[in-house]
Amino acid sequence: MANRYQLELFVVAHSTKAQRAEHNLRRLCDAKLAGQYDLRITDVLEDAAAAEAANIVATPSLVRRAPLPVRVVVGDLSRRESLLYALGLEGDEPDADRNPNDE
Amino acid sequence: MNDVRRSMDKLSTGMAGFDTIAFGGLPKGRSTLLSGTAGSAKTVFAMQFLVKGAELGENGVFVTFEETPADLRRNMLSFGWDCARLEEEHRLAFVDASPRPEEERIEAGAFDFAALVARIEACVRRTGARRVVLDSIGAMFAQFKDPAAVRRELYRISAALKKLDVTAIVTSERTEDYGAISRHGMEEFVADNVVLLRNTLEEEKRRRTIEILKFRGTDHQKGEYPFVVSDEGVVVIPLSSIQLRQKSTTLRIASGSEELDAMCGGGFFRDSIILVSGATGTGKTLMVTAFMAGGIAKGERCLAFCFEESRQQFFRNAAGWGFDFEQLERDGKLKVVTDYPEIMPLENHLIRMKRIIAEFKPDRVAIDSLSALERNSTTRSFREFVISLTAFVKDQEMAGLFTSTTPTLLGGTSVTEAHISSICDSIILLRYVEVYGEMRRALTVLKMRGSAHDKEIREFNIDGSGMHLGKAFRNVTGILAGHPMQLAMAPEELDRFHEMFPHD
Repeated sequence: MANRYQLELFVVAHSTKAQRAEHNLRRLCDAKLAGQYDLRITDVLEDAAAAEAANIVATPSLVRRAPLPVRVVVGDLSRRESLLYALGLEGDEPDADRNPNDE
Repeated sequence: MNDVRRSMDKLSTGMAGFDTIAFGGLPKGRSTLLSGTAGSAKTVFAMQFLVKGAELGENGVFVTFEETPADLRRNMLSFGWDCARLEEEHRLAFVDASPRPEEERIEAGAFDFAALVARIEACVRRTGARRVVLDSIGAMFAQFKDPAAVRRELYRISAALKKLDVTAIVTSERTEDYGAISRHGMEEFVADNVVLLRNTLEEEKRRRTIEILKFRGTDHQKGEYPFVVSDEGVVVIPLSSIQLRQKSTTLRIASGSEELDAMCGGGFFRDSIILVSGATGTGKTLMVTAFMAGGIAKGERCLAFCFEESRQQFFRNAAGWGFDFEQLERDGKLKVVTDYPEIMPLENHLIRMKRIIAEFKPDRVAIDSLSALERNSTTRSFREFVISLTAFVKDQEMAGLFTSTTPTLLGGTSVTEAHISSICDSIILLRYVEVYGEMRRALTVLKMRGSAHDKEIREFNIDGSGMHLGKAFRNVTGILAGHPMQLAMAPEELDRFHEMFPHD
């Protein structure tokens, strides 16, 4: 549990950006974090309250709740390096919880 | 202002001064850009719009991009606005889009603000809000790196607000008080309606003004109007709109001196403003004292603002002339307010004095002296202050007696007079006159709007029982100019001279 990635992706369901973001995210997670992550997809039009609670402004937004610190990635996740950094997967350690850039 | 065509498309903000200059309020169902430099009270104005709306039964949604709702709730308490209570009563709701410092935000590709729009829409529907505030959109440019995307997405919000048919205030920063309307070219966001708040430094003093730059398809007052941020929030002082509404009366009131009443043709007019000008020690405070005492003797309520003396001094002087002002104040017939002019800006004095007048509801108001207040202001602020206060006093059908101190002992006028002589209905001059090596006091009624009056320059004596008017200075000329000269003319000749120019 401690090492599992808790991810939530906020999107407008069925939009192009949503599909692209989900595709980019799953591809990377399946390659690097297979079996180590939980992904929940929330449609902001269906569940504005969840977006409110998570303080989501932009869509798509990926929230990494675990491991800490919480990170929010905005956009369709097409920029692979940014996504890798956000997930703490940059460098050569695929399942690193910590990385040198963390405070 | 009561024109139906003008007000039907406006939403009353509940902020009286602003509604006046806006001819009824903000354009209904539209967004208005409220732009100003840092510290120009944008957030206070915006929140007040919602709080006043809640009081009028119109719920509001505050979308914050910069400060957290917790900070806003705390800051707004200083204006007596209890956001938390309004939230509990479902009359106000926050949409929090402020950055969370504990979260790191990373951009990785194309995005839109659909989530924010969904939150705003959900919140407006849930609360039934009629008013929305976005504060401040400039912060979005700090939160997101791509300005073109932010601008595009802000248009999306603008379109959503229009669809929701809410009246909105969108705040935005400016870098200068006189320059581009807003940073990031955001005026296009809501180009229809633009209101500017300014906070400029003038003669080393802060001056706040508000200007409605444009309201598409609907009228409003043009130009800058002063406003203050008081403990009740933003108070706009609508100058020109109050100037010409005053009624006028022929009702006379006692000045406190029968001799002066006679000189004025039977007393002062009830809703008139009397300016008493004189050098220090010529008897201005005594005139104020007599004016107050004369009113109280007729059963009128009197209010005096003293900016030159302490309460104790004022009471002691009055006691010296036989008036127990302390007792009268305890009886509720008189109220004396003393303050240092320097304790707050003139605009705040104005708001405070208006409030005290409105609470005490006096029949007479005196200010001793305007010159003391002038020390603490710019020329423009002072003029606006006098216009606004005199209009207010007259509107309430009160009599006002204001004093002004001339800078020189003999003759001369003060800057104060230059600004207000045209606003005052009556002007009384108190002057020193040097006669054969002796200083004596002189009084003349220079102006008495709407009435005949005695035009003589009379000797004015002060003794233990108060003020007394003596005979006219018949053989002295040049008193008002400050260069009194004794005339060698025989008194009979002088009388003949005066008969050549009979009074009125």
